[in-house]
Amino acid sequence: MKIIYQGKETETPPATVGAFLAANGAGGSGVVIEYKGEILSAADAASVPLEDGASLNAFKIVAGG
Amino acid sequence: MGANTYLTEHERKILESAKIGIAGAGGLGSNVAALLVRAGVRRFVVADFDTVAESNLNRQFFFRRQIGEKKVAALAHNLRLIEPDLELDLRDIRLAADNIAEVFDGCDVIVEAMDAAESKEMLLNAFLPAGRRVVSAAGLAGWGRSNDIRTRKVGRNLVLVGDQTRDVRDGFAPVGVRVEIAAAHEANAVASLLLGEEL
Repeated sequence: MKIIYQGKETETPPATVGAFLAANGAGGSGVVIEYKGEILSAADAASVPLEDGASLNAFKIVAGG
Repeated sequence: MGANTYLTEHERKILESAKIGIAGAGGLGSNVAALLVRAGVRRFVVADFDTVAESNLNRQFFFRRQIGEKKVAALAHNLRLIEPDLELDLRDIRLAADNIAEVFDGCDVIVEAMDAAESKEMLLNAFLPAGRRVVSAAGLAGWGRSNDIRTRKVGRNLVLVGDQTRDVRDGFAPVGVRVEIAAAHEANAVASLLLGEEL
């Protein structure tokens, strides 16, 4: 299937949002997940399946202020 | 009249009636507060447990003679030099998951202006599931790359500022000019959310 990940069309086998992010180096804590225009908790991401054509963004929370 | 003489009456009413929470009075928070006071915001809840240190003076809205003072008190003094007529709820407190909701109860927008990534995440987890509007920053350290610092709307209630890359834990110093760019993004996002302007 294809999704729009970080603004780019990306081919992926079926997976949960969490598994996709982990496979793409954006798993775990410290990441804001936006899936289909809504923020998704890491816990929910572990069970929500990717849908064909859906948009997914991951924003790393880094230190400094 | 207030600090901003360029406001329409409509804008003035909106900005003066809003209550803004600022979590952290350091490089981001002290500058966001000063910018919002200049913009016309009058009501704030500011929370920070720390005292002013010499290392803060490269980027924070404090002065050398204020070293050793509590940040919330020093910031209140400095903000009132811009605009005396402010409603400031100052919280000399270390924000945590068990107190943050009470501290910022009733705030229209909460500005995440903390140092540690874990603290930023704690704040987001406290307010986003509850549908509260949050402006947060991540990735503002180091020199150069001004244009990498962006304002993004994420989901319905989060505005995220920064480059999401330059982490102080990776050796990038918190340099004032870049921190203040991020602070200006945060302040502009707050004002835009209040006024219904495009981010």
